[in-house]
Amino acid sequence: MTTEPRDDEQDGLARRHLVIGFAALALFVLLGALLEALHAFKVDAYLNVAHETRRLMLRLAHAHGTLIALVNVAYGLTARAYPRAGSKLASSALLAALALVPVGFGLGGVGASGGDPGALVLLVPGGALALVVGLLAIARDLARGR
Amino acid sequence: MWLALPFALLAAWAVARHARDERGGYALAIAIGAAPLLGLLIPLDEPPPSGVPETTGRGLFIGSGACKSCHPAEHASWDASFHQSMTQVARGDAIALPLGHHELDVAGGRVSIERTKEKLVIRMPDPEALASGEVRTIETEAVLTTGSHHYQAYWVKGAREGELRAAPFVWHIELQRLIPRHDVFLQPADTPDKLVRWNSNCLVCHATAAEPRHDRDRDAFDTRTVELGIACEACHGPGGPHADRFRDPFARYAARDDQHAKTDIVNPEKLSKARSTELCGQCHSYAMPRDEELWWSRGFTSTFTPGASLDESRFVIERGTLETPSGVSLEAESDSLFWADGTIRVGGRELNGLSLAACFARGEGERKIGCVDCHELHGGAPDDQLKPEAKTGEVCGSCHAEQATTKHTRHAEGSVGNDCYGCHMPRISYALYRAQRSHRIDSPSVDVAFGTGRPPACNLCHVDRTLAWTARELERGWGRTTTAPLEPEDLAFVVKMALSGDAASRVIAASELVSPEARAAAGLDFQAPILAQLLADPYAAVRQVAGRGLVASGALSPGDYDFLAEPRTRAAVRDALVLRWGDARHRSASEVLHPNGQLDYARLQQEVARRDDRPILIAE
Repeated sequence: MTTEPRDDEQDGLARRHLVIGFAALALFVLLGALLEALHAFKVDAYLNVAHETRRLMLRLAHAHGTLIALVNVAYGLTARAYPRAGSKLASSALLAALALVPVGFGLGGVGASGGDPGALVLLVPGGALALVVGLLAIARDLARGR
Repeated sequence: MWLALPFALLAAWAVARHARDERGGYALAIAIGAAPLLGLLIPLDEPPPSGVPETTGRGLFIGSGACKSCHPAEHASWDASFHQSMTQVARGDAIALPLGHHELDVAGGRVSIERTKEKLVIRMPDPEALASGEVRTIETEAVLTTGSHHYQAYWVKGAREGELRAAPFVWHIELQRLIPRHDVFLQPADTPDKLVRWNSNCLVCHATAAEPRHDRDRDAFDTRTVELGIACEACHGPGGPHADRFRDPFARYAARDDQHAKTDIVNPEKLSKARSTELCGQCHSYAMPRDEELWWSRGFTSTFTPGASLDESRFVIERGTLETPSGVSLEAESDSLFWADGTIRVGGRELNGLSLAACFARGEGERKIGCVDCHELHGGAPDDQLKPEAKTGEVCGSCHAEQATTKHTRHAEGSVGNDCYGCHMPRISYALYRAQRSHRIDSPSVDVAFGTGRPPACNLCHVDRTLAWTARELERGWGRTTTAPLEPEDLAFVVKMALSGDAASRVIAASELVSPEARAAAGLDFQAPILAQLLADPYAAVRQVAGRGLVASGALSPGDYDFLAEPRTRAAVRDALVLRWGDARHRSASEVLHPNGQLDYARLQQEVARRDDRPILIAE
């Protein structure tokens, strides 16, 4: 069963995604700048061969965080342009993805040991699933002309 | 996994609360909450074996991992080298022995080995018990491996705390077979197996900045290395100050085009030839520590850093000086390690050879040869690590331009005789079941051969020729006269080496008799009955090299002979081969051995009866 959101709810949903999306974009761009600084100053904890997995995980956190933040911004704009496209399922899925995927990669990287990331990388599969569900829900809602 | 679960459940709760009115909302929430349980499907890695020496950055040493971010190409070329994989933890792909069950007879009993995907479990006679005359079997796990190129040795926990002992076998990578450790070295069959200890033998050259850290009171080891294998800091010195200096990006860019910038690191290319060669010689020489007591504790870490003189930390041994002033001596004899003129005949100890070469000893400045002239550690091919110009003789030509012509070499363009190394760096040392190139660069001399038994390069290709022939050719071609009172001989020099020389001479002769160069110069018509005599040699290494040569020359099929078979079986193969050869007519390379094309077996036996049976030990 799906419930049609009211217009003010719709506006609130779009605004929430725009706010959170841009804030997350700023955060993950900042993370990228921080990673570049670690390169510039050759910080061993990041660049040593022994920490290759950590480096990969942090790069993935930066890249996925930035891209999923952009997806949230795009969703906010979409929900504003096509009010009926903004379902609560898609909204919560995209927000869950934005929280789980980069945080999973990031904390998995911090806790990396040898060739394996830390246990918190297990947040990523749930986040990835949420992202897929969210995107499919948006496509479905747009296709149905809701 | 359990750490991720609360976070996932929190996210699931938020999704469920927010999207509870939507179809699929609860399903998504459940999936998010349950996702961390995927961790149950991930197989756990085998932990490292117990007994691995502590490897950590120490003092100014930081380990090679810190070098890669600034020097990725150098790190990659090192990573592909056999230096890098010289010592590894015995886990997974580091173990060269194939998967499955293996068995082998060694002194004291039978060894059975179980190689799984992750580890090596060995059931073997207890070496400690064997040393006291008992026979007891132990089951243990390989802790470290040594070698990844020619063969691989394995180390297991010893009886003392922190001690690692050699397993009694090696996996020969080229031959793809297990060989008792005793038989992989050139040593008499009746030499008892020694308790070889990693902590006090191999670690100094096969690990980086290694310290045995022997506690004499407890007779225990707390061995530490910065890194297993021969890593960046073994040649470049401790990297801590260098890394600290260049962590600052402005310092890096300022130093980029400044050849004289302070770098706090050793670049062997910028050292004097003497120092850079000694740097390689810290391992590629036969040497003994000056301070034995200090060595047992700190290894050479407190007495040598790359760029310093070797002399402060160790004695590089010479023939006749195998004992230090403090009375510590090598187990091997001068006769084993050196030709009678002092030329080293152990492969891998190049500094001992090079230090006697005029190009090194008498050269000055740019006209002094050193390791870095011919070898590059960050080049392409890991085998021998030769510079391209070293393969063409261009290096020699930089000082000896006039000699780098066929007018001097008197051999055809493209032939081995036209190659500087063929004549001036002959293969007269031994290691790894083959003759190795000498680094005592000199010219062929019949007088030296006559006085010391060291073969002139000429005879190592012209294996069917006597010393008298060589004397004539050297005088005719190069004006080199011989003063030795040569008598008419009936046997080629290398044939005599093979039949009646000592074990080191025999193994070198066996290797050279059918080398590609020998085949080109002397053909393959006469070597088989000579090599056949070596199939029953008392030294396993001699038998292996001779058997391999016979297979390579087509006189034996690969399955016909096993150098580790029972003595009676080996002798039977020898006799059958000689009989077969005696019946055939072959080119007469030596008038006496093949009068009228027939094998003179009595003469051959006469020469074998004169064999020099002094015990020889070359444990590389």
